[in-house]
Amino acid sequence: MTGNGPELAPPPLDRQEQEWIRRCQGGERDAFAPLVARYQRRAAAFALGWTGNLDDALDLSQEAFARAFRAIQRFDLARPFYPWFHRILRNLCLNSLGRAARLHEVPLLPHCDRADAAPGPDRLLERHEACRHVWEGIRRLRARDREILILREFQGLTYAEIAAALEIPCGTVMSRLHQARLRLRAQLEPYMAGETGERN
Amino acid sequence: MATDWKARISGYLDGELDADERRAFERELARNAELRREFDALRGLKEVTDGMKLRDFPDQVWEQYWQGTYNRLERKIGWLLFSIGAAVFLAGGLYELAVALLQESADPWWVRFATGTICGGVAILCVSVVRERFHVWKRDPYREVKR
Repeated sequence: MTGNGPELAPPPLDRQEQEWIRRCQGGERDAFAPLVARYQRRAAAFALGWTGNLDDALDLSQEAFARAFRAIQRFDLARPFYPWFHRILRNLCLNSLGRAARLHEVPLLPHCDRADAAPGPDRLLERHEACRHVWEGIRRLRARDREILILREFQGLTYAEIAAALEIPCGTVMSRLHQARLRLRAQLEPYMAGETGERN
Repeated sequence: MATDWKARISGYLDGELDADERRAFERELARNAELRREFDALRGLKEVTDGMKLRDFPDQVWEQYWQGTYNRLERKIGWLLFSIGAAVFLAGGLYELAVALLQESADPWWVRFATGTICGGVAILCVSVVRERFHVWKRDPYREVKR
């Protein structure tokens, strides 16, 4: 990747997807099913990272698909589907913040790798505590930072995939992610300082 | 153009720099103390977030996902038609009521006024209760549980 370049390579168009959408535009509702199946996990995971609640995440992602279908006539077949859909989902997520009564739930879990597959209860408790701190930090970030961190840290999208979803150049993904991480780091400063202190 | 090394920290940590860029970044990192401090801070953060993942959805969610989405599409149209019909009835009913109260009734004005306000109040309360019940039902996590 070229770090600061203004590149924005259009993602390749998927012929199969275009065919499904064309049929949807012709009024075939069932043609929307494979499109939903392709992106349902990604959409629900993004909404979960946003709302923190499984039910709300399903609700929002399904509503986003329903709205996408209702607006499918306006969809430009020369463009990829997911970035367009992502905008609908993101707007719904943004509007859902007013009903965020369940934000105290933590949607993050410790991710155990093979080296530490069965951590002891103390270590596990520590990790859950870290999840809570990180989630609290993410919650306090502005929408733009939160969005890019969810896409990268918890959905594991590459810079090219994020660039396609947000319709921004890869270089912008890198700098925006950097700023978002700095702000998250600042939010977590007291926790991180404590962690480092305990380790020493 | 000067290279923004700090912005490349994330690219380096995420493995998104190509081989030449990585080497150049590592050279800069070795000689730039300020860059090193920021790099260490963000590497610490990345170690923390790498040890986390989003909760998984139960498997049966995906089996019913399309059905849920499809129901939304269908019900929206149903609600739209229902709302149009209900709005026509309501508007027509209110018009008829107003005409009856203002023109055709022999009752004194205060009786007509009071009747009108009571009817209006009852209509608002009914709509409000129905809306609240619907809202509560929609958010009830146990609505699928048979009591």
